[in-house]
Amino acid sequence: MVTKRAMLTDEERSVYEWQTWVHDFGEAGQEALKGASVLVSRVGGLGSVAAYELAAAGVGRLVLAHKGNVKPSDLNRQLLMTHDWIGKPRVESAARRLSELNPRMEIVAIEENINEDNAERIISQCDAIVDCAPLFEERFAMNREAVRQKKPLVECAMYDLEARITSVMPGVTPCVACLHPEKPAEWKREFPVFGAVSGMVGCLGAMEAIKIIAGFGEPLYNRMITMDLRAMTFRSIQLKRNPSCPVCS
Amino acid sequence: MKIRVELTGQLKQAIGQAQLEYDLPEGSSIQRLFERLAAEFPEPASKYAIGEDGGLKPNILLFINDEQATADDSIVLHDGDVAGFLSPISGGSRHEEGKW
Ligand SMILES: [Zn+2]
Repeated sequence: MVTKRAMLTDEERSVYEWQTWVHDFGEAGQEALKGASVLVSRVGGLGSVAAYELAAAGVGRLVLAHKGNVKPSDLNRQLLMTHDWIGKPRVESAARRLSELNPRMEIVAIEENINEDNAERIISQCDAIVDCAPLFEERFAMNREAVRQKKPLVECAMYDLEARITSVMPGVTPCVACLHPEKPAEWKREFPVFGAVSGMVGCLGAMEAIKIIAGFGEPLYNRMITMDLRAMTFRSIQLKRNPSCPVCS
Repeated sequence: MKIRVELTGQLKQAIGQAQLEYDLPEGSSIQRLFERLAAEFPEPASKYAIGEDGGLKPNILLFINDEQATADDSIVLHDGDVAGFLSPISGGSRHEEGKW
């Protein structure tokens, strides 16, 4: 468990009743979620769904970081964006829809993407991170700071009909730089994807964060799940730390 | 011996196939597999997977039979091995730069 617990109200007990029936989660797990602050970095195709599930599950505080305004081409996958919000800030649309679902949750909406300058400040506000960023610079900045502050980081990624997920626990598992030491030269920020692919891995990311915060189940430590929805094949790959990683070793 | 290769991400898209199969001499090292890949698909391989020195690019996560492997481990392949090349992939949404 990575957070302090917060007492539930009677209303919260009734809202979260069905998940507190999960035997190794229980009311203690719910109290941990309520006491937790989770950063979802970018609320796009992955992050919209991750944030929505975390809000539904009763996380006490969500920190959302995402720059820019809603575009028509966001709407095939960024499920917290709505047609009427085109041209207005994404993070506002996300905050509005999340608070409709969970008015008890505190939302910190930051209209910035994570970078080297703001990573320390933003990550210091959270207990766990779900990384849904499109650019490797953002991922590396977040990873570096998560490792420094010893905060767990759930890594979600997608491309075409493929998706991947692993969880980084600093000092225990490989970090992002262990797995990908450099920014790929050929990465383009626009790439093919379906909302159902990003949404699926967003859901998995939310579940990983819930397990890590509440301290139950087996998070994807030292393990990566790769998914190919075109062929419907799934793999679990054992990962290892890079003993000479410049970030975590 | 038969080695199955699994491709992902941009490498898979550039080659146009998710899986390849190679027949290599018994006792071949992983390096032999890189050579075959580079010979058959010179452009996509050099762009996304194999460096100028003939070794694996550092950003490709290599796995053999569901276990991450370091390309310089002097890995010897065995009949039926599955070698996977995980090209880096990422997430979400693009930067805000246009008129919106
Ligand atoms: Zn590392």
